[in-house]
Amino acid sequence: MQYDKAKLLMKPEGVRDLLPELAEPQRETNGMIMSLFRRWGYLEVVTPALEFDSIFSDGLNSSYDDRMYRFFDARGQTLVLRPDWTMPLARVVASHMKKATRPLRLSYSGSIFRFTLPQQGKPREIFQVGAELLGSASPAADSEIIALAAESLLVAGLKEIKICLGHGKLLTELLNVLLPEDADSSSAIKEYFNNKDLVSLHNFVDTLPLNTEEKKMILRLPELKGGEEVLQKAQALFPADCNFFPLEQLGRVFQELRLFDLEKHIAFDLGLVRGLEYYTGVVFECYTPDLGFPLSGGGRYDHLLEHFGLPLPAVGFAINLDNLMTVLTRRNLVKTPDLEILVAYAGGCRQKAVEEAAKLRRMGLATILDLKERDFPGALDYTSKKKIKSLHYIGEDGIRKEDTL
Amino acid sequence: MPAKEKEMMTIALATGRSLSSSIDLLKEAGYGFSGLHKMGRSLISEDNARKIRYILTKPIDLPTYVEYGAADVGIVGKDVLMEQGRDLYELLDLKINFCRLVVAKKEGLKKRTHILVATKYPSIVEGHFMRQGKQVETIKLHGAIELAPLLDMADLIVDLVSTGRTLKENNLVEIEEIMPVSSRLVANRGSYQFKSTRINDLVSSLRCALERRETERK
Repeated sequence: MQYDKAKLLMKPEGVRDLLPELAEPQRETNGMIMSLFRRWGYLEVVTPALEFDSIFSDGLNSSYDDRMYRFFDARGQTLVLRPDWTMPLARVVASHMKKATRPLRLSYSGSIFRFTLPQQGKPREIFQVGAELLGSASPAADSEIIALAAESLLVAGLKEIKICLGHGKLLTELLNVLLPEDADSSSAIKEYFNNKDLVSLHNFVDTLPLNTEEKKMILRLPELKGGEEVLQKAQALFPADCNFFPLEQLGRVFQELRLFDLEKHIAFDLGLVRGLEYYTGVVFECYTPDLGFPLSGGGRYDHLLEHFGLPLPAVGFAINLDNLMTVLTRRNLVKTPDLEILVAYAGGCRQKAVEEAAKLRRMGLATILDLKERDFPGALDYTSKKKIKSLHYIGEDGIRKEDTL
Repeated sequence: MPAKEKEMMTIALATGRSLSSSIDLLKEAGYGFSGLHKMGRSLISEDNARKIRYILTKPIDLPTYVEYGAADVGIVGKDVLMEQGRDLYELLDLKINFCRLVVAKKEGLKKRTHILVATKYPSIVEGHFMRQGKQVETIKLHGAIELAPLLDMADLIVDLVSTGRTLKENNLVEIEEIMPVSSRLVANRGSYQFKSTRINDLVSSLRCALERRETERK
């Protein structure tokens, strides 16, 4: 093929096409999750893919700064392709739903765009489906969102899932007691936690003017993983003058999740940090065996909406639908779309064929109406080549039905 | 989930100089088995008794295998981790394969405003000089970095040194250390949740082996 013709077939790095084998299962899975959200009272919101740069780059969300697709419109204003759904949703709530009775339950599904380093095999367009509960700060709201996150993965067909639960302010409260005057060290420690770099964390904490017990409090945090007993362990480990509200909140959320009969899927991970300043309460990530990445994640972000002039507590999560489809495909849980019936016809029988196809379609069967006349063997051959389940052949003498699979 | 914990755990080891010291340390930590010594000739080896699969990758590829979950854990140099910034857990400093990442210049090089740096580590270099408020241009090379300043292709190099002999032989002087480097144990995010018991066992066995080494040294 000529180079310039071949180049026409390329697309930008990090984006992909979905062919029918995957496009339909993905739409169906997305639909199952969206209708689950609907059954829980969450209503869908659609926002534009284009937003002003300022809603993402000011305030709490600086982590997107070098990861956004930015460009100028005709007036020179900076536009971005949305890098997440939470900010646009917050904007919508602050501009259109200020007076709505709270709490608000909203859902969304669609692409987000994040620039990644080249050649890492990382997607730059990610399909997310998610839900947000705005206007309640209670553990009941936290647990509703976590339960919904769990149910979404179960309804999609997964059995073995693990929801890792942490708290966005646990480390902050600990460091407030241990290093009250030292904001630089505190933020370095948070950074190490966020990067999951336990070696640098260890080396850094070793240099701090803390006693052995105090150092242990920081260094043990990533090891505090497991069942409810982890909360007591943390309580025993931490200094008595520490503000224990993060542990108390986690405890209350866990009690709530028991009511939903989901505790078997829950594991505490007190070293879990998702981003630096965004989350103010419970945070979580959902995993399944054999996938190296989390399937979904979320948490409580009570200060985000202040950015839009509407102080409102909120909690939410997003599922990475691409990752979810990868797992479902790997486990053979993806149903490839099939075509049920071909209506083919002999010469002069097209009118009857149109009527037959209309009847079958009214019954909800995926029916292809042939475009030209064929003889019966030709029609049968075509049906099996196209992998269509059965043939309805309309001849002078009536309908002949044949299953091919 | 005890049943799952019995599943195969995959450990990625890196080819090259560091392989034998990684194997020695694993042996001292109680993970020795005959197949480990054949690593290097074969790329994959299974310790059925312990349900561990070892795979061999290039150092530069190892973080990718672990990030994608093709391996649950791996042993790789901090230089590679730092350069790639992959999303994985860095669990333990194994204190093997010590060296240092340094900035070196040709002897007698004058001050310049536009600095060219030859290196295998362009991201580390950019970050390092940016923190000092300096902007440099990097030239990515894949080996024999010392050659670049000798041929006036670059002003500085950033490279790993262990004894410093290669620098001296090529008439280069170290002007700054960026960081000390040693091998690290890294883990996949999902594996660290689902195989945490097995991974923690590995971590504490390795830690014990390291402590024994430390005592012997004293």
